[in-house]
Amino acid sequence: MIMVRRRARPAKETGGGSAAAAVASDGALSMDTAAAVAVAGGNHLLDDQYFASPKRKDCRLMKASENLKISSDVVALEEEANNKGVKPTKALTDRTIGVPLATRSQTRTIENFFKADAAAKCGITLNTHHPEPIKEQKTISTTELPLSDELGDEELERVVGDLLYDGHSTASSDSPSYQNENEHEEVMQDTFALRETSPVPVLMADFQTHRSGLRDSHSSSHSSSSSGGASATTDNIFLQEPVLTLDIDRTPTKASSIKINKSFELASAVFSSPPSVLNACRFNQIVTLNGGGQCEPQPVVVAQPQPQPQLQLPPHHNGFELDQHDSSSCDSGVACNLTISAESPAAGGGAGAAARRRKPATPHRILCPSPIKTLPRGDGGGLIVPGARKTSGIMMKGDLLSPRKSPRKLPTTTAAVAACKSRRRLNQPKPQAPYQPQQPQPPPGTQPTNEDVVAAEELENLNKIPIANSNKSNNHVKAMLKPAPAKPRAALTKGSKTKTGSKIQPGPLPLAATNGNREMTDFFPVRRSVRKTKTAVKEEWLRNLEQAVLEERSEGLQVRNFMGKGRGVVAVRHFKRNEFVVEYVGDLISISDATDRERRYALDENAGCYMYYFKHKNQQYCIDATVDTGKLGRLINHSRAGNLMTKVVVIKQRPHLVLLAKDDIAPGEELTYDYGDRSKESLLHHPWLAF
Amino acid sequence: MFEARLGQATILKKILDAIKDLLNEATFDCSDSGIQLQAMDNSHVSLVSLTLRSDGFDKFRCDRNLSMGMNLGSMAKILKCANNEDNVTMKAQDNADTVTIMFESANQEKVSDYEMKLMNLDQEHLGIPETDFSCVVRMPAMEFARICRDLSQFSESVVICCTKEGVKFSASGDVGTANIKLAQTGNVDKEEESVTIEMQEPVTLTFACRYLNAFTKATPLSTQVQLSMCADVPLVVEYAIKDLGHIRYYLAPKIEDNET
Repeated sequence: MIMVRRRARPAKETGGGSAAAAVASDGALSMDTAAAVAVAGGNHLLDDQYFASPKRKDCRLMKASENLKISSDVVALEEEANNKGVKPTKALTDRTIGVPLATRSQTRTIENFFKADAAAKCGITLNTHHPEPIKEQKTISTTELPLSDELGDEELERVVGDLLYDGHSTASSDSPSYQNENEHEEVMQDTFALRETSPVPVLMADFQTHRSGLRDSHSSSHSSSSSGGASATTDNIFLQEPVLTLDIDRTPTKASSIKINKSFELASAVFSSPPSVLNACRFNQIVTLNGGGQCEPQPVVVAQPQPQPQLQLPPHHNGFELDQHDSSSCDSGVACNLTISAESPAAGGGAGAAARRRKPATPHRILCPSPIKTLPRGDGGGLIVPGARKTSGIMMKGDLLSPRKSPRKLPTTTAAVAACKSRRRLNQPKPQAPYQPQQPQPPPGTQPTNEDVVAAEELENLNKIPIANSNKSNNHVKAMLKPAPAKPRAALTKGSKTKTGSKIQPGPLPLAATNGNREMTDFFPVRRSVRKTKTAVKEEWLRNLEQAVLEERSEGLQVRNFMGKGRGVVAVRHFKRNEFVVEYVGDLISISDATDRERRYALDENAGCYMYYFKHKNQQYCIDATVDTGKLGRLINHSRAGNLMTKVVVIKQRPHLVLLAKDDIAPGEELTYDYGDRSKESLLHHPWLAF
Repeated sequence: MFEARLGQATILKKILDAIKDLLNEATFDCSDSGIQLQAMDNSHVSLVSLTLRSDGFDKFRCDRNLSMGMNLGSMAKILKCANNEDNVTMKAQDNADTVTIMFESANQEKVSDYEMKLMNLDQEHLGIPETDFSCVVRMPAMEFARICRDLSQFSESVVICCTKEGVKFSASGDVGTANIKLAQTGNVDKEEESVTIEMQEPVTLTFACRYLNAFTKATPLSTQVQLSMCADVPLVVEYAIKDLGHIRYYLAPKIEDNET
């Protein structure tokens, strides 16, 4: 798993950070997907992310040497975990680291595209290697670490570079001669890495041995490069001396390498959700990576849990996958697998042009191996391994990842089976490299340092370019340099975004901020829309009537004497239609009582006419208001065209007679209502009832 | 059933452009008297009140009062699909959850229908009291937009000081200070370009530039803008929509005294 992650991360770095070829970017994506799948298997993406940040911090805080040890230890732990099939916390942490990177990768997507474009350009020209180195250099520069740290970082960087170189080699694999050269270079690099790594853990010993041979050859070529960092650069010289040195320095920074890993993991996490087929493809890729990781583990007991699942998935897809599985089972097997993959691409992509590009790339490969590798693999995969690789873009990506390893393998295949060892070695260093790249990536946060580093890198690149003896390479280097600065910025911006928290998005709304401004609600009351149904309105009205009756309300009324008809009631305020005016208060009596009282009142000339008969619920009632109680209801005069109307309101099972405004009533109007008595007898005694 | 038809889509486009920057979504309250929209921006600092009278439409029918909550961004997208000369018809059933917007080309050869989902927005509706403003300034809308744009370069807030002589817009920031004075135009040759001030008493208020700039998105709707100000009362920026109604922006004054 570690291997996979590392490779994947480097691939991403190359694709995103150093403008890798479009193919490379695709490969990076595939790697990401694979990593994502692995992460998904763990279902600890978030956790990983959370863990990752702390680790980054820790790594930064830790001295370079400590970091190196930690990285090695982590790798070993991861390997063990993988072997056990259990996901170790360390693995998780690594994943976490990768996850944060992934988050960055999400933010970086655009950057990645830009980088990818640049990489594509570079890759086409074989300069892709340069961009990658630049990235590494940047990462190194960003992380200002002591030489010792640098050494550890260098190892990591070398591993990454190897991985990248592998990818490049695969790309270049088209031309066998170039491939061979590349392989040798890679081997040399690996050897350098081994040397560098040698101080760290013994695990790397095997790789170191292989690498050492390679490195020796490379070192001779790179001998010109300066001491610790220089040695790294010399290793890179195969790829490109300056690049290597830069990588080493950067790797020490830790952050850059870590970041790379994270980016890969994130990408993988993102992709993990996708279809099983893609996942399977990714898994295949992962498996290849795992194989690489396994190679390393063998010495140290490396078995990551993620790789295992990946291995399981891969078998479904391709022979490559099977190879990968084999590799997972056995380190040597892995190397073979890698070689196989390399061979297939080499066979497919024998194009001289590709080879040429690859050749220049090889030196560059060390620097920006992952992008180049990814690119070549994408190309090679399409060309060489139509069936398996064609299965899916993801598969291609996975192949690309494996191709990184395979590139080395390719040269080996072209050269001889012996190359497989070198390949294995390459693969072994690669896993380490991924960690390193990951570490460098996190450092992006330390952008300021990155600038200096970038400048240094540029200088180195320039130096390297002359070595390369190719104008194109120079151009590429320049291109690389340009992209590199852009990357750190992007990383910074990403970091800043993450720091500030993308959650603050609402900020864009300029109007959102109320600072210093009062709100409209301070001035205008909020109008709650109180829409009521008819029944609700009626109920409310009735309730209001009841309330008025209970309060014996009689407001806005005035008693006035009218010529010819005695007292009357006048409104002194405005009454709205249907509004309660006054209650006709009196004794509620039954009809029989009413007839008795009528008889009595008939004897009294002055008794007047205060008996109001009404029917409610099929029962006849009468309200007798003959007794002057001072209530105004009984004083309201009759008019056949009155402005009031009567209504019966039942309160506590007792009907009340209420006078409501039949229409809007203006102040000063006399209140009248129709008594409703049309009987001849009544008319005889009260002729005014006719009006 | 609600149906409203406008002869020119360009008016509706301008109206939406004028409010969509301030509001993400809003409720169109349709009644037989027309269409009304009232909504505050997210920060509740400003308020948009849009009134489109029914008699301004070529055809207007609203059997029952209808509230249509719309995402203004979506609405603007749909209106972008219309040519300026197209007829626009908005239709909705009484209890529909969608509104149909139909564009007909002038020659009736092209008819496009867009159906948009309505939203159930729970927005606060403010009761805006009638206010007798101390100062009412009428000025060319373009001029106001220019002033707001220029002053926003200097400061986040602009001070509007209205006196009998004229109205002064000023802003001060890190760069320096900016003052723009407008005097009443003596002879009103062109009403569109005139600056008139009705003043009961002088007023000085501070407002946030960003909102004023958002208000000026309504500039294409009208040649003249009316600023109504009163101490400790929100500024009212009114753009008349010819023959159709008006759009009013209310902006709460800034709390300036404490700052200075």
